[in-house]
Amino acid sequence: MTVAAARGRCATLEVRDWDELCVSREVARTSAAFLSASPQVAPAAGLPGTWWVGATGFEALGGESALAETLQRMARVWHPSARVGIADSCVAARAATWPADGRWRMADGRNAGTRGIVPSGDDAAYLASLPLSLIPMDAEVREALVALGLGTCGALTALSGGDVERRWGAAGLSAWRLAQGIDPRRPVLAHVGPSRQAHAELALSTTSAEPVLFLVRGALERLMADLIRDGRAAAAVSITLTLDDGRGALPSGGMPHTVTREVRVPRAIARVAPWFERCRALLDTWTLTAPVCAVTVSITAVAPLGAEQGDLLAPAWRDPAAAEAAFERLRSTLGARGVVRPVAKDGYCPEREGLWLGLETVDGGRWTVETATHPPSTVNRPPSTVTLRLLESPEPVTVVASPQGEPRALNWHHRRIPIARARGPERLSGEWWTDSPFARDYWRCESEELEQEFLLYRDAQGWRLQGWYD
Amino acid sequence: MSLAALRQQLAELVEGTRPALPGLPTGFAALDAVLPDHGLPRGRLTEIAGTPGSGRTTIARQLVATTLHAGWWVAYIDASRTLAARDWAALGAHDSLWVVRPDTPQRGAWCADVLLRSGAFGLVILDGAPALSREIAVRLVRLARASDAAFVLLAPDNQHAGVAGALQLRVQRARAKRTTEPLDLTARLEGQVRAPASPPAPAPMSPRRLLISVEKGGPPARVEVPCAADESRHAARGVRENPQIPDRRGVARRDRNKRGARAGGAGERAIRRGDVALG
Repeated sequence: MTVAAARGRCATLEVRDWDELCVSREVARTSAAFLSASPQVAPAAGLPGTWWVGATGFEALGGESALAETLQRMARVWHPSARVGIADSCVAARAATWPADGRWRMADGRNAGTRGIVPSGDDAAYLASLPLSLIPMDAEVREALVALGLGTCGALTALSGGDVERRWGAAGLSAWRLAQGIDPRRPVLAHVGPSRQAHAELALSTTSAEPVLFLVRGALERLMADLIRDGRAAAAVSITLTLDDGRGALPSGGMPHTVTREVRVPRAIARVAPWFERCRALLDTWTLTAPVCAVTVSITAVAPLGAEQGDLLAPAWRDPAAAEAAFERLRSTLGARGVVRPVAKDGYCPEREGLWLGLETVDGGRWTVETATHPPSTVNRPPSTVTLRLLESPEPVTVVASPQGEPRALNWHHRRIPIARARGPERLSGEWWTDSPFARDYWRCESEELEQEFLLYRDAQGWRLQGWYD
Repeated sequence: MSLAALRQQLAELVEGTRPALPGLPTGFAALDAVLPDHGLPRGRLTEIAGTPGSGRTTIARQLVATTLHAGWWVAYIDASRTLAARDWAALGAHDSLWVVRPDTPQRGAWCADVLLRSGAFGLVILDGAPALSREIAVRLVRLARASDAAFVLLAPDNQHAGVAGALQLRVQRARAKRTTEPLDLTARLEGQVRAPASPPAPAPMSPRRLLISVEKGGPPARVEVPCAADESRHAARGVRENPQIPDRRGVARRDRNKRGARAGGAGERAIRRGDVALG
């Protein structure tokens, strides 16, 4: 259905962006609704909007036609032209949903019935006259069959199974079997887990994150306690904020405007503090268009609770999940280069002798830095060596120098700093093959007045202060 | 007896039997010997004060190296963004070192809050942040206490957080005897000193020793610790040239030509002023 056609049916239609989380939530709701009609309900893998529903054992409840009618009525809540097909196999049942009037004919001319109900044992005969496009198969096999002029399922099944397997292997054999209605897929008994969701409404709509965080913490504490009781841990948590933009208060009774975001972790955990820090990081970067009036916290993915333990007797042991949560928060606020690790590289200028590389987390609580493009340096400085502090960009300074070029005084930040001793010049030049070659005369200058040692250089632009030793 | 009273008694009992936490070794045996917990106290604030260039960063780096070696997680907040990566690269091999570089120094306290709150770090160092208000400092110390972390603040002289129970250390460079003759500036001003015939030997930098005083939070004491000078530049790659010999590097020559064409950059003015003052 196109958007225009949908608007023709519903003038107040609201077109929203594709939201995977919203879709999965609706799939779960639809599955739950179908459960009232049959105990075997499974969303079809790879076929969004399709469900396999068990249809055996309904003789005493009006038979298959009553079930089909019930399912169609339920499905049309979500889609105005939802279709139902019943057959012995999934492939035939899906094919039976395709005719708009539900009147596929059998190969021998018999009527297959209304609502696409294929009589039991007639799947092969029903599929025989149908086009091969209804059979899921490998694209290469499909092209080959079309090239051979095979257009219907019956034409495929007329071939020998051995020949099909020899020519197209397992993929061809699988298609050949499906064309005969031999389908291993079956609806399974639906398993409905406990609802891991907490909803809370704010007394007053707010634009501030603090009241929302207060509710989120309470919800997480409750949900995590339930998880631990069940021996589970959370792998994903979603936060749904209900926005107070008046949409839910419309006379037509429209749905309230909600926005949902999800947080996932590499390892499932069932502790409140790390999850709360991640949720806080999410809320910090969440731009809202209206005040928030309600919060829903859901655990959307769970995993068995890990049995790993920290070494509580080692005083230096720290919880890696807590570090990961802090990392997420810092990174969400400061950016990818907010948390860094130093790496040495071979260079001549002080600013090119090392790099700060952004820290990244990897699965299993290990940390790594972003890939360095330079080979590591072999220079190793002992920790007791005096440390250099570098200005982010060298600052121009005025220097009073001797005729030999030796600095004698330095004017920096409106202050004159006499230099007692200067060592240099160390003449460095290089990178003439790039756009930014350099030629500098470095001086280490010691000021007795400030008890400070500066690193200066002079190049074509003049004197610059690059840093100091601390 | 009510359940609440029993809980209270149990909490007191547990708290009473909690062993005193040993301090984090600083890497300087002399300093550890005079500190109350034989190291930096955990769950408390330690202020390391000193002027820029006094050696605060060197002390902090030694502290980080020792703490990492003991297996703790360390977070260093470089609020002024002036740490040189080359000096810290040897410590970067540790998985448990984080250097946090906020975009503005004002965010440093917030970073410390997040890191201390996580409870994952044994040592958190806040360096280069503006003076903390008392409220923020108290909150950070409370977080440090909750996570048994040593919280270290590197601050300029006379800038104290004003938190009760904080350990205050002051770092300054120990005065060393001059190893070279003083420069006869008067003679140079009068033009009596000629340029040396042979290239002058580079003047050795003053040997470094750092003087650390315990000013508050422990018995007053003063220790002197050694600190190696960074000679790597001149020793390994330095080219000591006679300033009388012109610079024949291609890049420099090209730049000099440009400078000549402009005739009047900032550097040129500086040199001219130097000529006037001393020549």
